[in-house]
Amino acid sequence: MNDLKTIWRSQETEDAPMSLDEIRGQAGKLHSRVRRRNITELAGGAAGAVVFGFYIWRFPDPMMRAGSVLVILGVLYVCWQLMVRGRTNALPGDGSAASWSDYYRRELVRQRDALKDVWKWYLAPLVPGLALFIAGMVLSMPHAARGAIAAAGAFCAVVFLAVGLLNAWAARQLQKKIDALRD
Amino acid sequence: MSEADQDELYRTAIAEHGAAIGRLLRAYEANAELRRDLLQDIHVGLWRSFAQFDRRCSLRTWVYRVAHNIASSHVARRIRAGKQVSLDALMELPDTGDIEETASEKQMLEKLTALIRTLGQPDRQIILLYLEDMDAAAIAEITGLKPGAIATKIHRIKALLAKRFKDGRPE
Repeated sequence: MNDLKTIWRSQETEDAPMSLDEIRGQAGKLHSRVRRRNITELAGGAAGAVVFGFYIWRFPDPMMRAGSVLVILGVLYVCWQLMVRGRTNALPGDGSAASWSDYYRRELVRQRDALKDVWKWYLAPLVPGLALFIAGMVLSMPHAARGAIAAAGAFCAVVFLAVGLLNAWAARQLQKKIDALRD
Repeated sequence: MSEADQDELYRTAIAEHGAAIGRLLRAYEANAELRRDLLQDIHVGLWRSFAQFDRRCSLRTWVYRVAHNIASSHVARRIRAGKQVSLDALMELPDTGDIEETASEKQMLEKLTALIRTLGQPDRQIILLYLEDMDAAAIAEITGLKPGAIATKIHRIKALLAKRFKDGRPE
C-alpha cells in the first residue's frame, strides 16, 4: 500500500503556481463579478418597474393603477432581497477554512434557507399587485374578453404555486441531508 | 493581519503544500481548462483566507481545509460532474479495468485518479489525505469527523485499494 502512496505523491503536476500580483488581480475580478451580478439584477428589476410605470400612465382604471404601484413596490423589495442575499454568497476563501463537516453543513443550510423562503421574499411581494392588476383588467374589459384574461391570471397563479412548491420540495431534500449529518 | 503577513503565509503555504494542491486538483477535476479555473479559485481563496488565519490550527490543516472545501464546491456546482458513490458502494462494484492496463506506474496512477473521482465527499477527501500519508488524527482535524470514523474509513480504503491494485504493487 505504501507503493501506492509513493506513486501518488511522486506524480508530476503541470499546474503552475500563481504570482501574488496575479492573485490580487483575480481577487479584484471576483469582486467585479459580484458587482456585475448585482447590477444585472437591479437592471432586471428596473425594467419591470418601467413596464408597470408605463401601465400607470397608460391605463386609466384605478385598480390597474393601484396594482401597478404595488407591483413596482414588490419588484423593489425583491431587488433589495437579491442584494442582501447576494452578499452572503461565499467568494473563494470565505469561511472555507472550516472543517469539511462544518463547511458542508453551512453550505446546505444556506441553500435550504434560500429555497425555503423563496415564496416569502420572491413570490409573495408580487402577488397583491399582480392580483389587483389582473382583477382591474377583468373588470374594465368587455364581458367577451374577461374569460381569456381570467384564464391568463389563473395560469400565472399556477406558475407561482408550482415555483413555490418545487422550491419547498428542494428545501426539504436539503433538510434531509442536514439531518443525516447529525447521525 | 497585515497584507505583508498574508502574502508571507501564502508563499509559505505554496512552498510547503503547492505540490499536494496540484495532486488534489487532478483528483477533483479531469478537464484541464476547468482545472486551471479551480487552481485559480484555490489560490485566490487561500490568499484571501489568510486574512483570517488565527493560528488555532496548523498551516497544513488550514491549507488542506481551504483547498478541499473550494474543490468540493467546484464539483458540487458542476452539472456534469458524474455520479458519485461512497466507499462502501465502490467496494461492491466490479473492477472494470483490465489488469494488463495497470502494468505501469503511470497506468496505476490513472486508474487510482479515476477511482478517486468517482467518490463522493467526505470519502474523496479522506482517501486523498490518506494518500498524502496523513494519520487518522490529522485527517480528523481537517475533516471535522471523529477519529474513530476516520480509522474505519481508512480500513475500508486499504481494503478497496488492495482489491483494485493487488496490494498496491504494479502487476
